[in-house]
Amino acid sequence: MTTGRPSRAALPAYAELHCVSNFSFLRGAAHPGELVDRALALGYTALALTDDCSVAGVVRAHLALRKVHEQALADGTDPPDFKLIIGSEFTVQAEPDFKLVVLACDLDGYGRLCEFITRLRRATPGKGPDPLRLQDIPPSSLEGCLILMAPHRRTPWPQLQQQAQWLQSHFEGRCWLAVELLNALDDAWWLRRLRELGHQSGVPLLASGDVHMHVRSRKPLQDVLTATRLGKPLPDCGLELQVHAEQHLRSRLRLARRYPPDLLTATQDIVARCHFSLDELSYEYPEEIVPAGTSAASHLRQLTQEGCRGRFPAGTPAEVTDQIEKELALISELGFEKYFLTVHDIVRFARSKNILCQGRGSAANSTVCYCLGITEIDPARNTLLFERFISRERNEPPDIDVDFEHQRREEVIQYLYKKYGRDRTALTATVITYRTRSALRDVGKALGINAEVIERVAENHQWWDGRGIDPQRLLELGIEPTERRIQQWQELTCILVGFPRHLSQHTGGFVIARTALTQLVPIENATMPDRSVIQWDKDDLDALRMLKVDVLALGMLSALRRALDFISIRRGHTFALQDIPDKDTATFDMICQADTIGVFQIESRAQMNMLPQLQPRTFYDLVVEVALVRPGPIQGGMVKPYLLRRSGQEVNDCPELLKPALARTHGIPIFQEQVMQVVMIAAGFTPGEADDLRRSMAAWKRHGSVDKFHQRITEGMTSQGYTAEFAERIFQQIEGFGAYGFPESHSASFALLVYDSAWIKCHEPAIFLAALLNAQPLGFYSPSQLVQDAARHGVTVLQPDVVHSGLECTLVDLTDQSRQPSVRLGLAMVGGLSSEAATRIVEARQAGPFTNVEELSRRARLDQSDMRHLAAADALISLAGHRRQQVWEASALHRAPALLREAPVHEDLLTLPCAPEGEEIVFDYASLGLTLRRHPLALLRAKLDEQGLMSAQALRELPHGERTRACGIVTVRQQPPTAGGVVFVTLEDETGTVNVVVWKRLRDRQRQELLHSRLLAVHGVWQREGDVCHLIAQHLRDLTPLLGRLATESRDFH
Amino acid sequence: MLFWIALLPEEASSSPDDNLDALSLAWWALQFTPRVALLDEGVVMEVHASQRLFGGSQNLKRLVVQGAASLGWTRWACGPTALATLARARYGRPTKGKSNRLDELPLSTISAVHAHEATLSRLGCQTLGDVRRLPRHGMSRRFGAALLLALDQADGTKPEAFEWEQAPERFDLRLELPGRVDNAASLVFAAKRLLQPLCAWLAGRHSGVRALTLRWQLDFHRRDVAGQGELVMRLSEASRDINRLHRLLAEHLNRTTLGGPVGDLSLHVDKVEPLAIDSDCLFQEHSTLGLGAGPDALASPAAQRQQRQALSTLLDRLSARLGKDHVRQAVVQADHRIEHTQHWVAAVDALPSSGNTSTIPVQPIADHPQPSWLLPQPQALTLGPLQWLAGPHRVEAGWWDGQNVARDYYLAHNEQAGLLWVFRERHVQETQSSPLFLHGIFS
Repeated sequence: MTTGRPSRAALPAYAELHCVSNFSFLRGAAHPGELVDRALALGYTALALTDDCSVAGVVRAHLALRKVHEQALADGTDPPDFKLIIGSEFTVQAEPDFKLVVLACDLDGYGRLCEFITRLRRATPGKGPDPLRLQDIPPSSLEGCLILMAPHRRTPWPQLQQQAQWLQSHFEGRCWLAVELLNALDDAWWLRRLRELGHQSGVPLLASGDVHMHVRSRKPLQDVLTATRLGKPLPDCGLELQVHAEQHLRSRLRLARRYPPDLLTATQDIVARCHFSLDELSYEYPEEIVPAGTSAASHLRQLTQEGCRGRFPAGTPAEVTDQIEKELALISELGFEKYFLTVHDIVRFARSKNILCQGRGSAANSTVCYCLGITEIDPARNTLLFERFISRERNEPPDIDVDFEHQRREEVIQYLYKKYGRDRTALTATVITYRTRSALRDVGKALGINAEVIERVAENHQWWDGRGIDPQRLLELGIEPTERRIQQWQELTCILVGFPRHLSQHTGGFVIARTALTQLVPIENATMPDRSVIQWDKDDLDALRMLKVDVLALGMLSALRRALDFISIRRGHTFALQDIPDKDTATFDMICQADTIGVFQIESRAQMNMLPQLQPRTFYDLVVEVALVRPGPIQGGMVKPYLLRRSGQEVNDCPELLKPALARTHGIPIFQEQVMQVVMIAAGFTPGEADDLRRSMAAWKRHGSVDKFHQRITEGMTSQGYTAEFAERIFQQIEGFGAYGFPESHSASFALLVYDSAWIKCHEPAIFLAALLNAQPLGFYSPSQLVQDAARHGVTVLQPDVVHSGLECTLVDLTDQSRQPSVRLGLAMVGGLSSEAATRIVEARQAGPFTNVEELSRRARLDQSDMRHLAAADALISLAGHRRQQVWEASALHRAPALLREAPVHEDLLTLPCAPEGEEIVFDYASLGLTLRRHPLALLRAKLDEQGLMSAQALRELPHGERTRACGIVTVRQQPPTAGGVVFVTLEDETGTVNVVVWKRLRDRQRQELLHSRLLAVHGVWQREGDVCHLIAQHLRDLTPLLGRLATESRDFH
Repeated sequence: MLFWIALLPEEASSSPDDNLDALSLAWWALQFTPRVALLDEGVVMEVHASQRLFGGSQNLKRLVVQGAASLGWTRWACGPTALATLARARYGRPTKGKSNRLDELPLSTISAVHAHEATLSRLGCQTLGDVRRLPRHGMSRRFGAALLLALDQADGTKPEAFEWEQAPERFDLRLELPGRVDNAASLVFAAKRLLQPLCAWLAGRHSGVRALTLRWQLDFHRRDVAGQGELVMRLSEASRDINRLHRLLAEHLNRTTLGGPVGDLSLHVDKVEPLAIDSDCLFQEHSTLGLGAGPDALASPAAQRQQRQALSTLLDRLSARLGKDHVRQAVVQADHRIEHTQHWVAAVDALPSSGNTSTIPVQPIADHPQPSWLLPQPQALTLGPLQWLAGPHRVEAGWWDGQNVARDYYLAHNEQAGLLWVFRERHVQETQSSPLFLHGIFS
């Protein structure tokens, strides 16, 4: 034990072949990259990453190694002689269970490993891989792989022999017994036993370490993960915690002391036989999108030119032709033809089914995409937008997201599955990682910190600054910040943030491969039935240059589709989005007045407050508006300066050099692209570095991820002659952007929908309402609010009626050009009525009108419950008089035996008195969620007046600073994450809405009233800034009992 | 004229365990009248004939109402028909501006009407009276005969018919436990859920018990152990005092070993003895109610809690008098640090707050050899010479409780001292080794 320290060269070479990362969730305690870096530093010749039935972490390890190689290249040094081996560990069921490690030798072996994992993971729908037994492993399924067996020390000798024999008989020549000596009492005995076993069975031995962390100091975190997995505090975990910290990447000196040299050098046999690298995975685009006999390039060119003729029937302008040529050349050079063709194919399918769709994303902003019909933004309309197309330098796959009508996206997904097959396409994974809040919770629980304290701190996780919690805050909670446990809590939370927690499915990112996808990456079951998901996320795919198409759902597209159909009927010719005229003054006037309930994106309260200040007058103003009212610019403090400069109240001090980047937004960065441009121009970033910055901004990864760019940016800028103050300001804006940067390309696509939906609302308010109601649920407002808004705009809304209504909302007098059509609510809005029953009513009516309730029920085959729902909604009014009368008649119609069904029933007529208005309103709300009669508050007005509660209309006349009180039905509660605990409440009465601001202190004091009132009275101060008015709440009163039986609903957002 | 009392359990009771279930309450009510029935969620009893026996209707009503309240059945009403009485009990006490005349009660108070409330309210009906004013023929066609019948019965124009509850001749009650119970002591809590109905049953029969049998079924068990067990408990005199029975049962169970985890428990009584009134009126809170008729045999929820707290009260008191650290209990704890695998804690801290006493760690001891004698404090090892038998066995644990250890343990042999468990500290310079400490001795 007193041997001197031999030099590294004298030590036997070693490679760690059994090592899990934190992608073995709640077990591994190191990031894949950390493991690679550490193994390199220790002079290992290789590291095998062998996560539990998974290869989810291998791309990250691969990238870490790639980075080291790139660095070496940049430094002019030799790249390290080091291999990353891809593998996976499996738990085999036995008495007791033991581990099998499978390592891929070559591309073929890797493919088989992926298929093996897929088979286990997909065997049973639901979660988790199937249990594995030795007899379930046909040797052929793991050809091209090496197998290590790590038996359990408590396995009885006969079973050990059986296991070794099984191994040898199936995998002779490519199997080993892994000897894992981790300083346990029986190490020597175990080594002897395995030697004996190896001798008997002929299976060779090698050393490995069952590694769970890169350094021993991660042991506390590893213990926390164990505690989280078991759901117990640490002291209760007992022997399930690892007994020591030996399961880290050990120094070769220690290994040499622990293991006989032959076992260490045996690892090199494996290293020599494994030569697979993820770089060999050549992802190939699907084949079938190119017709036989043509090349992808010529096919793309042909489609583009065809599309071009459609877009520019009068002849293609010369600059457009030039742009197309430039883009096609770039696409060809990077080999992305098939990507564009694939997206085109999906869009073409959607078009053929009359499904509205629109592309967005950087690559979508190209003339080629415009010609292919993927986007509707005419690049000629605004050249400034299209700076970031695809960059030659970054060498990343192009990015196009396509939004579809939300009610019909499933058709597109099923088209993909059908066209490419389930083994060739699957959804991208999303790695759910620990965030501050969840990390605080799990670490806190493991350390046994008082649950209440954990919740208090976790709820206020903005106290967290990336390293710890402000000690003052802790003292306020009565916690001693220097206490050991609290220190540990903060330290461990810090490490845990960013750890993967589990895999989930991406909302719509599809991967499509040329041949079996399972050869490239394992596929798991998704939580949704009939969906499958790969083990890699979109960053992994980017790194391996694999194709991903985002097939997303957008409710507004469904609404627009319906609106276009209505307009086409009204105008007597097909009316498409392109037919909506540009630069319509009336539309912009309406937007400037914030009259935007129902309009895409700009209908939220924050957006509506901004509109009168921003006064958008052009399409580009809308692009800015969409991006400006977002957490990023708000937190970065961009909004005020932008408004001031736009109105000329503040000077635009944008330096000449930065003008290309910032001139269009008055020197204030608002879009993600601008941030990239600024750091490239001013701080000398390469496009690749700028993209790094974008990524760390885009993904909510480790806290302080932008921090590491601080020095780089400020120094870069000062060295180029910018003042330190200016540099600091720019950096703060970037930092504020943080997680929430919004790309201009997305903004532009959204702005199109903003303009289109606003135009429809402005010129066809009735059609707009019907379209929105038929596309529910979407947007910010409930049907009741949409109907009230439309009524304020003079739209007549008619109640659902079995004699007139369709299944969906329809328009009456649609083709009468002399006036606005009326909206007839559809039977689908009748609460409790099945859509089948509603459809039967509409079908039966086609054979002739109904004359009475009995006939309706007979011909539409409605049972008594259908009839009651119709009566409850007042929808039998044309057949049976007022609602009480309808209910009386409807409830008489029992389901008679088939023979008697045609026989009418005779009964003396009962005449019931009409219901008072209050009762009618109550039952309207109960069935439809809205009323077309007076607003319920109109009935309460006298009572409210007695209490001095003012109406929304009366409030609008008040001057700034007036103390007042208001009351209304709570329709929205919103607590934006950026607002520091402020809750925005919208109250509705018969005259309009009142926007209430509840500060955090009042929120905490009157939580009950705030969260549970349906009818709320607010005492406070009226605040007026131009056209934007708020009631700042000082006291809340719950008046819900006044509503009686009225059922109202609030949309609550967090 | 008939005289009905309707009883309903306390609304939204925080701990439903404290409420006697409806059947048991019905057994209890049988001590006042044989005409007791279950009606929806309530118990109704007709006491017209018993009024004289219990000293007049007012006194009888008081006995019933107060007795039921102590069992968690706090809502009540009385009147001439069962349905009307139940409706009033559901509606609650009349208050100012709130009448409880049958016609003015809301639709929800009679179940047959409540079933059609959605439709009836849309016809403009808000009270039972509104419903009765609708034409009978049309009503029966729309809502069936049951609704009209119920209204007529509530009104007293049609007779009500009930199946009267009868206390069974023998008491046999089975209880499926919500979770497995591993030790006999924990069965005591479960058994109380059986003793409550037993005492109610005894009260209804004006009887006491001198012998009872508790049987349990094991969920799974070793092959050489029987699948069930039983305990026969005998009393020196007949009783239906729940606390007494419970205490006694607890003592018996504490001396019983179970063959495995229990999943199901049952209580049987074959023979009862008439019990003189007042004979077991032990608790102050009952005697003040003047409940001579015997509901005293059932402890109120408060008294049950008191019983549950008796042990901790005793321990609290002892700990207070002798000092907290002088009343202690040994606890086994799974831990890699051998000195932490057992420890004494103050008894008041060790006593679980809930009834959950059965959580014994699955495998509290590591599977390597453990020394049978442990030194209170590791001592620097002065013995020599040592023969190294096995090791190092590395233990690194306890970073979270401030008693962090990082040691390499060895199994060593010494001529005089025998087998020893010794260690070196790990937190020393790597080149220089720590002195050896003796931590344990193998016998």
